[in-house]
Amino acid sequence: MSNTSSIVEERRSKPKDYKKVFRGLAKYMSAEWPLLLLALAMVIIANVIVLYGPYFSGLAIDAMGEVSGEVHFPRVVRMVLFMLLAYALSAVLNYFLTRVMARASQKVIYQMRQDTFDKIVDLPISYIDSHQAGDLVSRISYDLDVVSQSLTNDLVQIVASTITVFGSFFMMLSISPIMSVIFLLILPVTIIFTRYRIKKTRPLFSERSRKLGQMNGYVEEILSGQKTIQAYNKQEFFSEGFEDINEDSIHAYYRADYQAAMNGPSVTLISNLSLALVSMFGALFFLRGVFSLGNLSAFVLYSRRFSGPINMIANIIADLQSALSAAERVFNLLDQPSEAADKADAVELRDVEGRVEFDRVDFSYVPDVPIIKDLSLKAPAGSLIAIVGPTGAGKTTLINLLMCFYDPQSGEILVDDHPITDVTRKSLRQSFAMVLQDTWLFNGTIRDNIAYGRPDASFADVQKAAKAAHIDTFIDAQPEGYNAHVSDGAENLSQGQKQLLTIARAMLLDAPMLILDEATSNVDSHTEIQIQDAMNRLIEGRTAFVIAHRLSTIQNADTILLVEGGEIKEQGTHEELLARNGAYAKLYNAQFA
Amino acid sequence: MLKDYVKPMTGRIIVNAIIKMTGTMLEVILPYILAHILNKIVPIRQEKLILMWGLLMVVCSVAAWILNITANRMASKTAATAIQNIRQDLFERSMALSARQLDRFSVASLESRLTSDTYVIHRFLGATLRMGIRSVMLFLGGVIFSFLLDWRLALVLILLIPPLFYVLRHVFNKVHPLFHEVQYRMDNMVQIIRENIKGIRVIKALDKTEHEKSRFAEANNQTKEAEIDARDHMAVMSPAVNILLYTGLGLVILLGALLVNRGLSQVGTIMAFMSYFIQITNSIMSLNRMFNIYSRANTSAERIEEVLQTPPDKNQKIDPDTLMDLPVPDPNIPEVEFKHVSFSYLGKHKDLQDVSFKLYPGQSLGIMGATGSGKSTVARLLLRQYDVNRGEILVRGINIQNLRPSDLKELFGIVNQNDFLFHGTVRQNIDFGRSLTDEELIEATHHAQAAQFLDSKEGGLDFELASKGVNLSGGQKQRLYLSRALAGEPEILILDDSSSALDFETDRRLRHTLAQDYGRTTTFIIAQRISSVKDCDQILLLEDGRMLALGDHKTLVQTCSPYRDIARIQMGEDQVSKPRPESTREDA
Repeated sequence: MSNTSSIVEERRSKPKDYKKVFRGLAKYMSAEWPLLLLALAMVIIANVIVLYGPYFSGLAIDAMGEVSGEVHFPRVVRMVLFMLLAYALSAVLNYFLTRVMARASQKVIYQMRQDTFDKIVDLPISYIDSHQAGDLVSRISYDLDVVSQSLTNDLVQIVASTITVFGSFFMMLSISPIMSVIFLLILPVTIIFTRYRIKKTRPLFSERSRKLGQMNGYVEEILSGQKTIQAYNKQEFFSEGFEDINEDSIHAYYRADYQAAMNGPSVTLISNLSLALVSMFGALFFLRGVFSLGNLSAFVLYSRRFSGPINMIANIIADLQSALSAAERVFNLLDQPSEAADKADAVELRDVEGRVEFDRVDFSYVPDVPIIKDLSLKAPAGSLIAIVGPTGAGKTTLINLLMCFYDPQSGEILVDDHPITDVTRKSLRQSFAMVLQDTWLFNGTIRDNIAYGRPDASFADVQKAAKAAHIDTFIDAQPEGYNAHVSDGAENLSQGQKQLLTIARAMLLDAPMLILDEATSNVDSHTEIQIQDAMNRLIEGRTAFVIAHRLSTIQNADTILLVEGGEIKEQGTHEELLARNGAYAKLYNAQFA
Repeated sequence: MLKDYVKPMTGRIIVNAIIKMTGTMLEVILPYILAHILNKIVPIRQEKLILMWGLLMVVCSVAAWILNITANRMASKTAATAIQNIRQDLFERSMALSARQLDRFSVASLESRLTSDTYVIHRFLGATLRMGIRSVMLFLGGVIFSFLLDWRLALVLILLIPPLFYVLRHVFNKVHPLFHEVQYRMDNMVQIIRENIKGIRVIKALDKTEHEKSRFAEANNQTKEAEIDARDHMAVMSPAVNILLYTGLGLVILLGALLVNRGLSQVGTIMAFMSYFIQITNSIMSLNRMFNIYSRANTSAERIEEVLQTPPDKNQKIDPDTLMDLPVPDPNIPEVEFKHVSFSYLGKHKDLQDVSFKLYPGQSLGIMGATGSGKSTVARLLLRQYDVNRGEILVRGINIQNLRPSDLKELFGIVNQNDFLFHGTVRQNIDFGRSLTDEELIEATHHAQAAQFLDSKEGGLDFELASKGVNLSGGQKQRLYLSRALAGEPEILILDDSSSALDFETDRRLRHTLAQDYGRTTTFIIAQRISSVKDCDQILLLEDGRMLALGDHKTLVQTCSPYRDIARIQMGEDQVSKPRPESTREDA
């Protein structure tokens, strides 16, 4: 089953813990109680008033008498005016109701969105690492949107429909209890029928979404391999595969449609049957003098209003259910613990010299799969630690530990003899500068991106950093210079230029310690030399942890850590490791020689 | 053009429409019957007749119910059939697009055309056949019957239609751009979330979480304001329509009262008229909705047609007059020759310029250069994914433009940078629709160094891969791509950055196997690291699409200074001047 379909599947499910969801929603909605209360009052008044429309039009009809010449004009005009007044009042109320509800629901959603975002950036890195970005994004882009739609429309609709159904019935009851019996019969039949239909069609609709998801998955997957498929001349083979999937999804769509084809006509049938019964019995009762034509007219109009909302309530319940499960997914995220706070007695790191020590550190991401076993390492201030090994996970682990993104299971890491768990995270992280291979720029100007870590830096300082990182000529060549816009997906920047910008950002920080991920040579040789030079400048005078790809860096390192298969295999200087003739020597000979 | 998919079903659609119209008319007639009862039967006080006409109303309702359901089901079938064909053709056309056309459309865009656009059309087609015909009938039927009932009252109705349409279209036109604005703000917000998730390490390292929160709050607030603005404007719609409708109703009652008083009309007529009035207004509302769906569907239809109507690209056309058969390899004729090849993807920047080389059967060519220097372009041109702008590419002495695409493609085994695995078994992924035997598959996995890890997977060749092979590591995926390329016993093998995720031991074994078991295969190795190509017979160094040098490693180190620079950066000063170990591969 493809990813898409399992998401669809998940979205269809009912919330597991109604209590929690309601409590959560109540908390957010209670903040807007004046607006919501106002809206509730308006929706009730508007829908009660509108019920008087048919009543007055019925009275107007009655005022016409039964034969020509009997029309009581002043009364007709008065009743028509009353009718218009009722409809107009409710229309005006509805207009303001929509505006009030838009404000109330948007304010609620605003707060929920903000809290969700705040939670995402406050989460521990381990949570972000172990969850798909798309999944987190969809909490805000999809789930909260569903909740928002539901808050804006469904709440009003459900109150309005309930009032219409019961109000219409009450009005009919007050006009003629006997005729109302017709609706007393129709109401339960409608409810039972609607519920039965929902039960029957619901699984068909989720099957349809599932199949559609499968088809989307197939299309996404196969199209991404189009060039490979053409290279093997296998377009027809995969088109045949699509035929089955397409057939499946169309069939599921049709099966759901086939059943749903009944819904519209059935609602109309109920409305039409009520009209027929009202007409027939109304005429009979009229003949017997227990029912006026105006009553009949009002009944006809009420009966038309009656069947729609019942069906609507059924639809809204389905909507509400998916809104509640969307809300539940949001609340589940909000319930995640944030990154733990600093210890109460945490001290601020100041005037850091850059001594780093690992003392018998054990670490694993998953229990029983150790990544680091008993690592001890002393890095004096200004020393260079190279981390080498084949491509793959593992090398970033040291960064995760140094920056306190993850905590070791046992052992200690010390900076300037302070265990890093005893200092404030802020001061620890600020004493490191970081250049990752996975460069990160945000949507903003070049200047803002360089000065991201030091927004107070003067323009001269920013320029100095750019110059040191060899990116100044490029920036000056931009029509807007330092105010040129960049973003992560920017096409106007090459990978190498992005890297240089992040180096400039690190230069500006001027932190005593450095974490550096050397670029592999996916840039032209000229840029590569510039990057190399910029990195060398950056390393100077700092305690540096470098994920190294270059021989020159490695040979100059004070300590080399060889990481393979996700764990540290060997540790020592270049000469020591070569002499050992182990994994490092093999790697060195195969890859660098 | 999409009409062509519906045309074969014209007969069916006509029957469908007739059933729907009949069903709808049976409903439209109900208020007329009510008027008849009140105007004609009640005055003569015939209870039996009232019951009979009432029963007729019930019969009409039930008949309408059955007919409408039947018509709806037919409509669903019609829509489903049309969409199935459209989607199939669209998929096949997408699969057959030339590389250049594919780039122009982009995979993501084709994807959304195949999924959401066909989905929109499906809904539109279904809705037109169900709702559209019904709305038109309710409208026309309503107008006709109200004229039949009383033409003077009907004039009130006619008077009301233009302002109704005006309000609907006016609000729609006003609100439409506002909802675009909401979408735009929403996209901005989502971008900030994505940025934050991607850069979370940097953000935390620089203690910028509070800054990011306030940045998001700003975007969040803009979304809120845009949404409120759009809804405020939208709020006018339904009250305005209702006020118009009920003003009309009031006029009908007043005018009706005048007419009744003069004996020109009857109360029953006015009551029936009120029913038609509401019916017509509802049908206008639903026609308006149809119109909105239509304008969306129209955009989708254009997007689908754009793909379907794309003619075959120049490089996909074969001229039968110049077609030649592919000869067997000849050691004296270059297996592959580039003669002064120039090429540009977009027509402005030259992506390859005057590239020439000869590669004899069994020889290997390493291609080096930075990203964007044109390395992969060489392979793409050889595969005829794109055609050269100038110069010629010859395979066994024949210009590849004179070869059958199927003949040409059968020569190659390719591993691409971003190759592709699909949801299915390992066997299906390696076989790739070629109906290879198990022995061939197993041999290929051995040669590609994939056999070992496959043994550890449940089911071996029948191990189920997740979509895009996400349940494999990078190195394992690369070994499957290689297995696929090797399984067809290719005569020309193209490895484009294909061993970057292999650990060094596997990489070494692979190179050994290739040298030993595929010694007769002509090989292209595209790489960024000198260590991957240094044993090739020839190395082509590209910079910015131009040939900087062509020769073996030893020669290049001595004669080409850019190559020497790269070697120095990648391998260190002393390594470059050291004597190289002898090549393991013999020259052909």
